[in-house]
Amino acid sequence: MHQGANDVTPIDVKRLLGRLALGCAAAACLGPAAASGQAAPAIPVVEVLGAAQPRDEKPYRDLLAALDTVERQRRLAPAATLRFKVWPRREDVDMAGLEVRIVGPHTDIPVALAADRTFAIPRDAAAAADNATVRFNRKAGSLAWRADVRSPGVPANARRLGDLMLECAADVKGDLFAYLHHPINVLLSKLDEPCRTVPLNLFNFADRPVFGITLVAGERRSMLPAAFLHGDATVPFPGHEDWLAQRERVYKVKFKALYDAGWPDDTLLVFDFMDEETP
Amino acid sequence: MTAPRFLAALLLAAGVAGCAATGNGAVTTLTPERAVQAIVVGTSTRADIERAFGQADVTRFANGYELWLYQVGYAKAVDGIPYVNLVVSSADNRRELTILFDRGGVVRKYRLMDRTP
Repeated sequence: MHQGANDVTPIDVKRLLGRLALGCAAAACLGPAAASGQAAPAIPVVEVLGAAQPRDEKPYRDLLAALDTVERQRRLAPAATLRFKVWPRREDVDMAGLEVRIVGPHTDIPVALAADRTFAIPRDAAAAADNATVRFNRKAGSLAWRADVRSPGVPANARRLGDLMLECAADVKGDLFAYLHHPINVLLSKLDEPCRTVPLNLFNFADRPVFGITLVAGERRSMLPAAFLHGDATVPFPGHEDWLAQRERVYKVKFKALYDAGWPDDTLLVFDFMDEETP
Repeated sequence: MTAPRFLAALLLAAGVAGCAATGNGAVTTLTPERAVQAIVVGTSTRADIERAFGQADVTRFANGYELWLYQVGYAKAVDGIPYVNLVVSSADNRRELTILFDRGGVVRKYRLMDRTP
């Protein structure tokens, strides 16, 4: 697996301390023998050359759970494809040379990463049994992960509500969002259809910086308020958020409220991007 | 912090964030016709907008664009306050004016929105 030079530490402190502790225990065992004047056996020298820091990764089984959820709720977007996508979680994350693999004790499967940083996850029973992870060659906390569900025929400046609902379900079931693992949040993720059942505050990323979003279903139109765009003004736990570096693309969809108000799956969210003329 | 103090702090934060209108209040009575005159895309500057509507809630983006937001009702700040945002939301506001400035500080787009009941 490719590892950038900045991803490797000279010394893994925890492992070093562990070895020091083992070394002390060994010395304590040898102490009486040494005191009795017997020749001490040679102690092999272990040289710690370095160890990789934790990678940005997700359990393979979690991503399979996301796939399963999409299949169960396929009615929302019958012709859609599911991929996953990553975004830089901080502005200083270098996305050049990004690679992803499915790895485990007996697993090493390369995953094709598209130019738009999307990828598909193959089903592999052996990898699941191997407790594998889907791992990027970046330090933990570098990336924001999202499901990417796209139905054919949707205009480039729009997203389909049913697709976004499926993305939400996959994100929650796949534990892709970085959020506080508060008991309430964990409980919500166990619901069968959490995005439809409770008014979750989850952040999506538009393809480009967005100024406004209009819901369109036939003749019916409604603009999303500023409250649902560009993230929250106050962020109490920034270390638990994964959207801050994408603020100009961020939007929220209140699925429960929209579906309760009768907006259909085929509703389009039409984006007014910052860098183009208003439609 | 004890629970009552935490609750009081949240309510205080909500109260501060929940002022009646952003800016000088001009947005409260702004009509689409008057907005066209006051906000000229490609011409109006930040100074022009501040003179007309007062101080906005400002969001600066990494791409150099800047968003000015005027709201009648709760300020957007309440949406990020844990627990308080379960009770109130600026999404329920009666009216809001959003103005996007380009990297040179000139209006690129704007949107005047009244809440549909």
